Amino acid sequence: MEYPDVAPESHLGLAVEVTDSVVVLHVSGEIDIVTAPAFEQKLAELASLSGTSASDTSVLVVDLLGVRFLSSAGLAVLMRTADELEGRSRFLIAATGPATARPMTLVGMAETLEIFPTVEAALTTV
Amino acid sequence: MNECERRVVAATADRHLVIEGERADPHVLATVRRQLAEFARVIGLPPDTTGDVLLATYEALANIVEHAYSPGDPGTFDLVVEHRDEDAALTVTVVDRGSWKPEADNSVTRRGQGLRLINALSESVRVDRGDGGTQIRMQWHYRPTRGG
Repeated sequence: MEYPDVAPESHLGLAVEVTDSVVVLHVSGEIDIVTAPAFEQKLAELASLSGTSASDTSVLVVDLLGVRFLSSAGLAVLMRTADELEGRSRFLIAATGPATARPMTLVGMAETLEIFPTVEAALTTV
Repeated sequence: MNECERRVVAATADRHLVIEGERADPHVLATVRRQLAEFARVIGLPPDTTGDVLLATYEALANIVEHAYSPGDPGTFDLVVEHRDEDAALTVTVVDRGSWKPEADNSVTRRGQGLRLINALSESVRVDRGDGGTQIRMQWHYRPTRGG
Protein backbone atom coordinates (compact mmCIF):
# COMPACT_ATOMS: atom_id res chain seq x y z
CA MET A 1 0.00 0.00 0.00
CA GLU A 2 1.58 3.32 -1.07
CA TYR A 3 0.90 6.79 0.29
CA PRO A 4 2.95 8.95 -2.08
CA ASP A 5 2.37 12.20 -0.20
CA VAL A 6 3.51 10.90 3.16
CA ALA A 7 6.98 11.96 4.32
CA PRO A 8 8.86 8.68 4.78
CA GLU A 9 11.29 9.69 7.52
CA SER A 10 10.94 11.05 11.03
CA HIS A 11 11.95 14.64 11.61
CA LEU A 12 14.06 15.79 14.56
CA GLY A 13 14.96 19.42 15.25
CA LEU A 14 17.65 20.29 17.83
CA ALA A 15 18.52 23.86 18.87
CA VAL A 16 20.86 24.78 21.73
CA GLU A 17 20.51 27.95 23.78
CA VAL A 18 23.29 28.79 26.25
CA THR A 19 23.14 31.38 28.99
CA ASP A 20 25.34 31.86 32.09
CA SER A 21 24.93 28.57 33.86
CA VAL A 22 21.97 27.14 31.98
CA VAL A 23 21.94 25.16 28.76
CA VAL A 24 18.57 24.63 27.08
CA LEU A 25 18.12 22.06 24.32
CA HIS A 26 14.96 22.80 22.31
CA VAL A 27 13.71 19.65 20.60
CA SER A 28 11.06 19.43 17.90
CA GLY A 29 9.59 16.68 15.77
CA GLU A 30 9.62 12.96 16.56
CA ILE A 31 11.88 11.01 18.91
CA ASP A 32 11.69 7.37 17.82
CA ILE A 33 14.12 4.51 17.13
CA VAL A 34 15.47 6.32 14.05
CA THR A 35 16.04 9.76 15.59
CA ALA A 36 16.86 8.77 19.21
CA PRO A 37 20.62 8.26 18.50
CA ALA A 38 21.02 11.86 17.25
CA PHE A 39 19.04 13.11 20.27
CA GLU A 40 21.28 11.09 22.60
CA GLN A 41 24.47 12.29 20.91
CA LYS A 42 23.47 15.93 21.35
CA LEU A 43 22.46 15.39 24.99
CA ALA A 44 25.73 13.56 25.74
CA GLU A 45 27.66 16.45 24.19
CA LEU A 46 25.80 18.98 26.38
CA ALA A 47 26.04 16.76 29.46
CA SER A 48 29.82 16.58 29.06
CA LEU A 49 29.90 20.40 29.28
CA SER A 50 27.71 20.47 32.39
CA GLY A 51 29.35 20.52 35.78
CA THR A 52 32.81 21.14 34.37
CA SER A 53 32.82 24.92 34.61
CA ALA A 54 33.80 26.92 37.69
CA SER A 55 30.14 27.50 38.35
CA ASP A 56 28.56 24.79 40.47
CA THR A 57 25.04 25.74 39.47
CA SER A 58 25.06 24.23 36.01
CA VAL A 59 21.69 23.19 34.70
CA LEU A 60 20.65 21.28 31.58
CA VAL A 61 17.08 21.81 30.40
CA VAL A 62 15.48 19.68 27.69
CA ASP A 63 12.53 21.44 26.08
CA LEU A 64 10.20 18.80 24.59
CA LEU A 65 7.28 21.18 23.97
CA GLY A 66 7.77 20.94 20.20
CA VAL A 67 7.91 17.13 20.21
CA ARG A 68 4.90 15.43 18.60
CA PHE A 69 5.92 11.82 19.20
CA LEU A 70 8.08 10.29 21.95
CA SER A 71 8.67 6.55 21.96
CA SER A 72 10.41 4.39 24.57
CA ALA A 73 13.70 4.86 22.68
CA GLY A 74 13.48 8.54 23.62
CA LEU A 75 12.44 7.76 27.20
CA ALA A 76 15.55 5.57 27.56
CA VAL A 77 17.76 8.44 26.33
CA LEU A 78 16.25 10.79 28.93
CA MET A 79 16.74 8.24 31.73
CA ARG A 80 20.34 7.52 30.72
CA THR A 81 21.09 11.26 30.62
CA ALA A 82 19.57 11.72 34.08
CA ASP A 83 21.77 8.85 35.34
CA GLU A 84 24.81 10.43 33.72
CA LEU A 85 24.22 13.86 35.26
CA GLU A 86 23.26 12.66 38.71
CA GLY A 87 25.24 14.50 41.38
CA ARG A 88 26.93 16.70 38.76
CA SER A 89 24.26 18.92 37.29
CA ARG A 90 20.53 19.46 37.47
CA PHE A 91 18.53 17.93 34.64
CA LEU A 92 15.15 19.55 33.98
CA ILE A 93 12.55 18.54 31.40
CA ALA A 94 9.82 20.76 29.92
CA ALA A 95 6.95 18.62 28.63
CA THR A 96 3.19 18.66 28.63
CA GLY A 97 0.31 16.83 26.97
CA PRO A 98 -0.44 13.39 25.52
CA ALA A 99 2.59 13.10 23.20
CA THR A 100 5.34 13.57 25.80
CA ALA A 101 4.17 13.98 29.41
CA ARG A 102 1.78 11.02 29.17
CA PRO A 103 4.32 8.32 28.21
CA MET A 104 6.78 9.67 30.80
CA THR A 105 4.09 9.48 33.49
CA LEU A 106 3.01 5.98 32.41
CA VAL A 107 6.50 4.52 32.90
CA GLY A 108 6.98 6.30 36.25
CA MET A 109 9.47 8.94 35.10
CA ALA A 110 7.33 11.73 36.52
CA GLU A 111 8.20 10.46 40.01
CA THR A 112 11.97 10.33 39.53
CA LEU A 113 12.71 13.20 37.11
CA GLU A 114 12.00 16.93 37.31
CA ILE A 115 9.31 17.63 34.71
CA PHE A 116 7.70 21.05 34.20
CA PRO A 117 4.90 22.29 31.90
CA THR A 118 7.06 25.12 30.45
CA VAL A 119 10.73 26.08 30.19
CA GLU A 120 9.97 29.21 32.25
CA ALA A 121 8.51 27.10 35.05
CA ALA A 122 11.63 24.93 35.03
CA LEU A 123 13.92 27.96 35.16
CA THR A 124 12.12 29.50 38.17
CA THR A 125 13.49 26.59 40.21
CA VAL A 126 17.11 27.33 39.23
CA MET B 1 -22.61 11.38 -3.42
CA ASN B 2 -21.47 14.76 -2.19
CA GLU B 3 -18.49 15.42 0.07
CA CYS B 4 -20.56 15.60 3.26
CA GLU B 5 -22.30 12.25 2.72
CA ARG B 6 -19.03 10.59 1.85
CA ARG B 7 -17.54 11.73 5.16
CA VAL B 8 -20.46 10.25 7.10
CA VAL B 9 -20.08 6.90 5.38
CA ALA B 10 -16.36 6.90 6.12
CA ALA B 11 -17.04 7.64 9.78
CA THR B 12 -19.64 4.96 10.37
CA ALA B 13 -18.58 1.93 8.33
CA ASP B 14 -16.39 -0.84 9.75
CA ARG B 15 -12.96 -0.41 8.27
CA HIS B 16 -9.68 -2.28 8.27
CA LEU B 17 -6.09 -1.28 7.69
CA VAL B 18 -3.95 -4.20 6.56
CA ILE B 19 -0.20 -4.04 5.93
CA GLU B 20 1.29 -7.45 5.15
CA GLY B 21 4.86 -8.62 4.69
CA GLU B 22 6.38 -5.20 5.45
CA ARG B 23 10.16 -5.12 5.90
CA ALA B 24 11.18 -5.07 9.60
CA ASP B 25 13.34 -1.99 9.08
CA PRO B 26 13.39 1.00 11.47
CA HIS B 27 13.04 3.38 8.54
CA VAL B 28 9.61 2.08 7.47
CA LEU B 29 8.04 2.62 10.90
CA ALA B 30 7.50 6.37 10.48
CA THR B 31 5.57 5.73 7.27
CA VAL B 32 3.47 3.04 8.95
CA ARG B 33 2.79 5.43 11.83
CA ARG B 34 1.51 8.08 9.42
CA GLN B 35 -0.70 5.53 7.63
CA LEU B 36 -2.19 4.54 11.00
CA ALA B 37 -2.72 8.21 11.93
CA GLU B 38 -4.57 8.75 8.66
CA PHE B 39 -6.70 5.64 9.29
CA ALA B 40 -7.54 6.93 12.80
CA ARG B 41 -8.59 10.27 11.32
CA VAL B 42 -10.82 8.59 8.73
CA ILE B 43 -12.68 6.45 11.28
CA GLY B 44 -13.06 9.45 13.60
CA LEU B 45 -11.02 8.09 16.50
CA PRO B 46 -10.80 10.66 19.35
CA PRO B 47 -7.37 12.40 19.65
CA ASP B 48 -6.50 10.92 23.05
CA THR B 49 -7.19 7.37 21.91
CA THR B 50 -5.34 8.04 18.64
CA GLY B 51 -2.21 9.06 20.54
CA ASP B 52 -2.32 5.91 22.66
CA VAL B 53 -2.95 3.66 19.64
CA LEU B 54 -0.11 5.26 17.64
CA LEU B 55 2.42 4.90 20.45
CA ALA B 56 1.43 1.36 21.53
CA THR B 57 1.49 0.15 17.92
CA TYR B 58 4.84 1.85 17.30
CA GLU B 59 6.32 0.17 20.39
CA ALA B 60 5.09 -3.25 19.24
CA LEU B 61 6.63 -2.71 15.79
CA ALA B 62 9.88 -1.28 17.25
CA ASN B 63 10.20 -4.45 19.36
CA ILE B 64 9.99 -6.55 16.21
CA VAL B 65 12.53 -4.40 14.36
CA GLU B 66 14.98 -4.49 17.27
CA HIS B 67 14.51 -7.96 18.75
CA ALA B 68 12.66 -10.43 16.51
CA TYR B 69 15.30 -11.03 13.86
CA SER B 70 19.05 -11.54 13.78
CA PRO B 71 21.17 -8.68 12.44
CA GLY B 72 21.67 -9.11 8.71
CA ASP B 73 18.54 -11.23 8.47
CA PRO B 74 15.75 -8.68 8.34
CA GLY B 75 12.37 -10.36 8.40
CA THR B 76 8.89 -9.02 7.91
CA PHE B 77 5.86 -8.04 9.96
CA ASP B 78 2.12 -7.74 9.45
CA LEU B 79 -0.09 -5.04 10.93
CA VAL B 80 -3.86 -5.47 10.98
CA VAL B 81 -6.11 -2.76 12.41
CA GLU B 82 -9.79 -3.64 12.75
CA HIS B 83 -12.39 -1.03 13.54
CA ARG B 84 -15.84 -2.10 14.66
CA ASP B 85 -18.20 0.83 14.59
CA GLU B 86 -21.04 -0.96 16.43
CA ASP B 87 -19.32 -0.93 19.82
CA ALA B 88 -16.61 1.66 19.05
CA ALA B 89 -13.85 -0.94 19.28
CA LEU B 90 -10.42 -0.86 17.73
CA THR B 91 -8.13 -3.90 17.60
CA VAL B 92 -4.51 -3.75 16.49
CA THR B 93 -2.69 -7.02 15.72
CA VAL B 94 1.04 -7.11 15.05
CA VAL B 95 2.68 -10.33 13.83
CA ASP B 96 6.30 -11.32 13.24
CA ARG B 97 7.95 -14.57 12.14
CA GLY B 98 11.10 -14.37 14.24
CA SER B 99 12.24 -15.31 17.71
CA TRP B 100 12.69 -12.57 20.26
CA LYS B 101 16.16 -12.23 21.68
CA PRO B 102 16.37 -11.45 25.38
CA GLU B 103 17.55 -7.97 26.35
CA ALA B 104 20.89 -7.40 27.99
CA ASP B 105 21.05 -5.63 31.35
CA ASN B 106 18.16 -3.17 31.25
CA SER B 107 19.12 -1.45 34.49
CA VAL B 108 22.12 0.14 32.76
CA THR B 109 20.75 0.68 29.27
CA ARG B 110 17.39 1.86 30.64
CA ARG B 111 15.64 -0.01 27.85
CA GLY B 112 12.75 -2.39 28.16
CA GLN B 113 10.06 0.25 28.62
CA GLY B 114 8.34 -0.73 25.37
CA LEU B 115 6.18 -3.57 26.68
CA ARG B 116 5.46 -1.58 29.82
CA LEU B 117 4.15 1.27 27.66
CA ILE B 118 2.09 -1.11 25.51
CA ASN B 119 0.43 -2.50 28.65
CA ALA B 120 -0.24 0.96 30.08
CA LEU B 121 -1.55 2.47 26.82
CA SER B 122 -3.86 -0.39 25.80
CA GLU B 123 -7.11 -1.44 27.37
CA SER B 124 -6.17 -5.08 26.92
CA VAL B 125 -3.10 -6.82 25.52
CA ARG B 126 -2.51 -10.41 24.54
CA VAL B 127 0.92 -11.72 23.57
CA ASP B 128 1.16 -15.15 21.88
CA ARG B 129 4.65 -16.49 21.38
CA GLY B 130 5.06 -19.56 19.19
CA ASP B 131 7.76 -21.39 17.24
CA GLY B 132 6.78 -19.51 14.12
CA GLY B 133 6.83 -16.04 15.64
CA THR B 134 4.98 -13.70 17.96
CA GLN B 135 1.58 -12.05 17.80
CA ILE B 136 0.60 -9.06 19.90
CA ARG B 137 -3.06 -8.09 19.98
CA MET B 138 -4.11 -4.79 21.57
CA GLN B 139 -7.65 -3.51 22.02
CA TRP B 140 -9.38 -0.23 22.79
CA HIS B 141 -12.99 0.85 23.27
CA TYR B 142 -13.37 4.56 22.77
CA ARG B 143 -16.06 7.12 23.34
CA PRO B 144 -17.42 8.04 19.91
CA THR B 145 -17.39 11.73 19.04
CA ARG B 146 -20.31 12.29 16.71
CA GLY B 147 -21.03 15.97 16.64
CA GLY B 148 -24.06 15.89 14.33
